[in-house]
Amino acid sequence: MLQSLLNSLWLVPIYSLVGAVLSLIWVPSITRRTGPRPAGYINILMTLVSFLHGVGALVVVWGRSPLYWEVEWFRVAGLAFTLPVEFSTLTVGAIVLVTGLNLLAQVYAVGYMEMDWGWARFYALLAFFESGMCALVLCGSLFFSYVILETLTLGTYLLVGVWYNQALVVTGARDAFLTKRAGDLILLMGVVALLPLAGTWNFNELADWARSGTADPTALAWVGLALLAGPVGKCAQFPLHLWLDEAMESPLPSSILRLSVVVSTGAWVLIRLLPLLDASPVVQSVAIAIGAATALGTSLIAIAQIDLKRILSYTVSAYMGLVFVAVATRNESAALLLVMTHGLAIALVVMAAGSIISNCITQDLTQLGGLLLRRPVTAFAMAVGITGLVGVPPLGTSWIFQELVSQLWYEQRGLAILILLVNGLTAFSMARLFWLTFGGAPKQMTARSPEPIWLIVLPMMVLSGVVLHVPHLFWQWRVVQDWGVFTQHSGIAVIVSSLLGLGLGTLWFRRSRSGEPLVPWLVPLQSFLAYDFYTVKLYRYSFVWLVDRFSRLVDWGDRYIIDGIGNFFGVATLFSGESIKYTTFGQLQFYVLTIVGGILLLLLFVNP
Amino acid sequence: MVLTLLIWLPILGAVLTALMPSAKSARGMAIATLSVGTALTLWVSRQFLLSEGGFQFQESLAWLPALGVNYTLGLDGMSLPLVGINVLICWLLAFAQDGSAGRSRLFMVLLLLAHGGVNGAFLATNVMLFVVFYELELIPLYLMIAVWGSAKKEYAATKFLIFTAISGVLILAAVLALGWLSGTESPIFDYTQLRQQELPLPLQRLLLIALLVGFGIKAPLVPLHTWLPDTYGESSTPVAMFLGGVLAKLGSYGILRFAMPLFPAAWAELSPWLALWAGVGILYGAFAAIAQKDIKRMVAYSSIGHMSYILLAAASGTSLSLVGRSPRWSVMDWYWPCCSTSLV
Repeated sequence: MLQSLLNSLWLVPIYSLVGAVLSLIWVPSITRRTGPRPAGYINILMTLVSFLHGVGALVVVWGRSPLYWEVEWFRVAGLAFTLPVEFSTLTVGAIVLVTGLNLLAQVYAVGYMEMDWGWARFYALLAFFESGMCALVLCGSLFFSYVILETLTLGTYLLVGVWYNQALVVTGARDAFLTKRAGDLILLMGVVALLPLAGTWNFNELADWARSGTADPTALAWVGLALLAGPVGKCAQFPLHLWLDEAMESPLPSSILRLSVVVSTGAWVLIRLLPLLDASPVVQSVAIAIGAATALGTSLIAIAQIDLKRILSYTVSAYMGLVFVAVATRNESAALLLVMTHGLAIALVVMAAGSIISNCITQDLTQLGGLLLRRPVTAFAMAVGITGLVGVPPLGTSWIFQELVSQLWYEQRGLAILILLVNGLTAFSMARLFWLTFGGAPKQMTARSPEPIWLIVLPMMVLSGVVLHVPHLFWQWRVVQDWGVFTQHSGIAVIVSSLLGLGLGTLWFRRSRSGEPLVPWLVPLQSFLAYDFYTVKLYRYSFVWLVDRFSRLVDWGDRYIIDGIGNFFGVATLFSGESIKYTTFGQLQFYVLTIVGGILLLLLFVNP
Repeated sequence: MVLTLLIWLPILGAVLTALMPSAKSARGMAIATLSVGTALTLWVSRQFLLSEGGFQFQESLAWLPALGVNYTLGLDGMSLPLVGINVLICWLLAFAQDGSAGRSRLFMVLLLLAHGGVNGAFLATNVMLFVVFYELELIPLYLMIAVWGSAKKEYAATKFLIFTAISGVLILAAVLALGWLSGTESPIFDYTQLRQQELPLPLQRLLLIALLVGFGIKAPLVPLHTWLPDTYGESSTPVAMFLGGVLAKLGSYGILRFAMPLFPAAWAELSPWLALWAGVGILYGAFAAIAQKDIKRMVAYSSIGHMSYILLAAASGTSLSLVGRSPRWSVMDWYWPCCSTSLV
């Protein structure tokens, strides 16, 4: 019985798709009759089924060797498209994480989107996302992973654009789509180029191929760089990072999912490609450089934001940068654990932020403040999320940061310091977020602010419990064994960096001095960070400008030169016809003369 | 016999449609004809043996044997999906044209005629017969563009006619040369026989270029494409659907069916240049599409880019790339329906 749960796990992506398809029934005329809610309930039910199925399968697969399946899709001209499926503790665990978070996010959305009429579309898209992610974790083929990543890109576009009658939403959705597409396109080049080289798209076979050392290092480096581009786009890393903060225009419950697991799909693919990247030092150093630059840059940018959700989006970019660093330095398991703990913690912080936004009607930090006593439950959840996010023992990330720092300290000390620095900066920015929201005196927007509906509070509290229990899970999984690590230098360093960040942030923002720069002469720096290094402007005046100019040039050439030549022939024909018209005088002698002349010419040609 | 039905049934249907008393019954007649056509096509594709290469359902009728021109038809793996697309799109079109544009009986008649003509071009295995059908479908299409188009419809229709006629002349010249150069008593126009014939390389090169330019106008390939944005932009959406979904396939079909297999040596020699040409066309189409303000013209330019993808696949000439071209075709076909629904 239980075994069949594992064998039928491929159904999980299909459950949510069924929910998404059933949502199609709620066309406007039916929605008018039933209200939008049933569509949401169906999707929640399907997600619950997926979650329970996943948990059952996890029980079965726990501690056993993975199960591999291969499904042949079709075979053409010597190329077989087979879909390898992997049921292992890791993949099933990832499914439980994804479906569990989606379940919470969907219940949360019932409360958060209470007044919305677009439930069918919204829930269907969430289900589409869930299905895509579950398929991605099960799938063991680079080609199919690419396909799924593309559908997730489409899903992001649609989900960000749910409230499409707002200008910012439209640009946000467009930028998210185009930026990710830029990454996906380069990824596609890598995927296609890999086949003739390696002869397979199966991750495990690719790993064997990369380790065998038969590959040409230059080709491997180029392919590796192309493959890196996909995760760079997905995880919102420099230089493709700007979509994530714009994507915060989507309804908040979808941001819960996006910030916690959707961006991690890039990291997931990166981890699966690790053997391939490992084989090329160039790719490795590029991955480290991108990750490190993003981690540092975006954690600085986050400090200068006044939008609650954008702070979180940049923080996610920073953590994904750390995941890049961890993967590129071969700390694969630390990277996976970081993806999980970060996902849970950030989901909680987003939920707490949404709980504030839902009835303060603003996400502007300068308008918030003084909520600590009015919103104790939310404050608690937020505090748990923040401590889970930055390295505060005993919560999850502290173990991972300690591990990473101790691994990197002797070989790549710069990176170890970077991790501490990013942790400290994130702690500072999270303390800023917390105190600007909860500290100080109440303002106009926060004067009347009760805790929201239980549908929002309940998922938030459940997730708080999960976040608090992450260390317990670590103990159970024997990932961590010993409290003693926090008395080592690396452990102490992590604790000091977190406390320094949290402490300084608390000291500075305790009494809510929002809006003021720290020091007057820092204003230019503050705007530089607040406007995301002016990346949007930079792109507008470089790439966008170039493409725009060049396409206009092509259009001009098409209109006036290429089409012009065609039109010239037309005009020339008409004109010559018109002019010859005037040779019809009506004099018979002249006609005869012309005919004789013509015959003579012909005779000359025929008899040379 | 069934292939003949696929061609002549729509034409018979066109005659009957023209005789119908009202616009509504004419539409019903057209839909009925196309439904029978769809059923026939489905039956053919069920009977089609995927495991076997070469032409199936072959039919042959002597027409002008002294000139090598015979009524021979055949269906193979390349023409089957195209015939299916043709009937599907036309069927959808008959539904899409609800009479609001006026003169719907004439539209249905022309649509059925064009449909039959295109099927004939896809099914002909005699090269001359192909040319005949290739030219015949121009007449109804010219009228379809000129009658139902927007402001500059006459300009667009004439441009379409002249460009395509030039394409037809070039193809006719190349085909005649091919037939007469066989050196036998009567010229050879039979496709299977032509494939076995080997011409000297310079001659192959010359004929290939003539065919490429001819089909390149029809496909269209940059820089022979300028009729297309005007035609798509000016014709009504159903006509544009037919042009983009069905007619545009004829050019690339010609390249893949005739230009490539009939001159293998010259093709191999020219293919790097063709690939380059295709690459330029892809980028050209994409960039020109970005600059367009009119959605139909934008789709037109992106379709120009897509046609170059087919040339690229043909130029690379591996079996995988040649299999890949048919999905590309079908993607193109969904393009216009999608566009049309968004316009509607």
